[in-house]
Amino acid sequence: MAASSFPHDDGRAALAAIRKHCKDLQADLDLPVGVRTDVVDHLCLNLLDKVDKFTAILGFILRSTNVRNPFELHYIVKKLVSRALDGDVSLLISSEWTYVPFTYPMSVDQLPDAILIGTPAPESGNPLLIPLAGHEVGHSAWRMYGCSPLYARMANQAVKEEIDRNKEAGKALLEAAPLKALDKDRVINQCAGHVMEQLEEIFCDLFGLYLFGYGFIAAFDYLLGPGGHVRGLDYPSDDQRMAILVEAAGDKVEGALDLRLDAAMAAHWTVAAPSLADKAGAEIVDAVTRSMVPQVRTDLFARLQSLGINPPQQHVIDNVLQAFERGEPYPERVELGEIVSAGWHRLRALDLAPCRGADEEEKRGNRSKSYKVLADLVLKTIEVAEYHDRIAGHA
Amino acid sequence: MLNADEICIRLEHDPGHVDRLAIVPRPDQAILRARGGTSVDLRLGRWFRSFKPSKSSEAKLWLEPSAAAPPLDADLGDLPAERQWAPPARDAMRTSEHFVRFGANFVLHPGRFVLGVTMEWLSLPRTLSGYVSGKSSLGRHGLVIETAAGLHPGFSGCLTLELANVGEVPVAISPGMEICQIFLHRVEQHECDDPGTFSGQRKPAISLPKRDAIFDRLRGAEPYSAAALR
Repeated sequence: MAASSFPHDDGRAALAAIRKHCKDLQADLDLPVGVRTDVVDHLCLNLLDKVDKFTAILGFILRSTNVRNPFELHYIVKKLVSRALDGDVSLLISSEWTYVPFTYPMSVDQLPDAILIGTPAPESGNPLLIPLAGHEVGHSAWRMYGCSPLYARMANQAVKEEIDRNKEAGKALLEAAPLKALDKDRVINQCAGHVMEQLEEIFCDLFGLYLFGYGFIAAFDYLLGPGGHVRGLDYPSDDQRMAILVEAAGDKVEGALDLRLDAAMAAHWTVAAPSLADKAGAEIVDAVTRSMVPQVRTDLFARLQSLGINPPQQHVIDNVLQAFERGEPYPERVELGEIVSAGWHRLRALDLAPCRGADEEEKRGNRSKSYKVLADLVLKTIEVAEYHDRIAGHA
Repeated sequence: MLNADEICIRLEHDPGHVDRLAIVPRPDQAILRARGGTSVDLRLGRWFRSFKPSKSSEAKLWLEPSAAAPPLDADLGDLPAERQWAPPARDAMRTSEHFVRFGANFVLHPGRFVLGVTMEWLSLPRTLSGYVSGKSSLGRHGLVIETAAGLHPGFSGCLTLELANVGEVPVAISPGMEICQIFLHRVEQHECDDPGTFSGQRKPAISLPKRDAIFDRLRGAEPYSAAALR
């Protein structure tokens, strides 16, 4: 792997960090003569368990060298994430075989500063999926901004008030607890915990929305939207998430409402419902979460603004879109959110109706070419942004 | 051939103007005018494509009659052209892509050949055509840029460059360096609507050969279906 052609230094550095850790583990096996066999076995099993955990990361690092990946994204994404998290990060953009889009946001012990973004392997060359990284990076921001302690007490108090206000659901919830009234505090804490889990997810969505604007909502609709199954209390439904995004977008993000209406017309999202056993709890948790969202949104947007980050500007998106429509990359330095938002507007303006059968082979071919040209225009515009930064000495 | 002032005027036209020339990133017009030449220097991009060693004894650069049997129920006369004519063996066309970041080098050894690409994306109006040539300063070190040379009106995309080291020492090339130059010409009557096979690409491209009916007749080649029908 060390002999692979790494497009950027971060991949090589990540590999070196893991290699060093493995060497340290190997050194632990230099045992003195006479150590009992069962001790040696236990030690070896323990080490193998650690090594096993690295294999997924090593595969990820190896796939980050695949030339199908949009390597041009590295600089601009890294710069944006570093600003949003107010510190240096290392970044690996790779692909994942599972269709889980993004993983490992600063959550690997040996790579504490690394953000590993994995787009689905079949679409690893598609730059329009990158806004979804905003959600996963949001989890890092949630921790770094110290959100849990900030909102936990508020959540606890709000749950108590909601149980008092919504008598029916409150009573059903408390009666379902094994110890009835004696168990009240545990039930309240449990609900507050679910509120915090939901708030974190919504925080991450809002984080993605602020950085990528329309691009985030469109990518969300494209990749994450379809989501059936019964939902747990720890996660808001896709429909709720989209409603919160569209409300937060307001009239500043052109096309957001249309996108939601289109999806609703096509019954694109399934509104996952909680199980019957969770019904009362869901009523309380959802209501409290809803009541706290405006506060979380205001705090987050103010925080990002204080870091000098602005959301994508509609007039810039329009200019970039016009360049794409002419078949040209945009020549000025613009932000990543503006580029991908324009890309999504352009993509959705193309004929997206399914092509079936041999009769539509030519149409399918032309469409593939249009997608490819659009991806090239998006990536070239991203490269132009890096070019301007380097010329100006900002890189 | 356009001079520096005429090139700058076309670069400044508003979108939609019939003579508008777009080069992204934009060249420094002050330098262009000051130099007073008749060409625009273009820079090397970050993507390269090299050919892999092949087990094939040769790479034919034309289409051969297909050796693959068509489906049993196929009407041979109506068989689509791509089933009648086969492209060169895949093994002979295998390439590797390479990405080189800014600040890093790609070393081209003596006798080796690689496809590169310009960093600039060009969009030519239907009133201009162009010729690309290497830079003599690089050619004197053995680095020859054998581009497709002719650039048709309406072309849009990055230019694929055929780079060869015909010198005797390895040559390092690096993304962002000036690699070639483009000369622009007015087209008297702009009737061409086909912007060319390679329009709209940011990576160096190779294409499969197109069918050449005259060449096929001269060498006595027949498509699969015609031979099978006889």
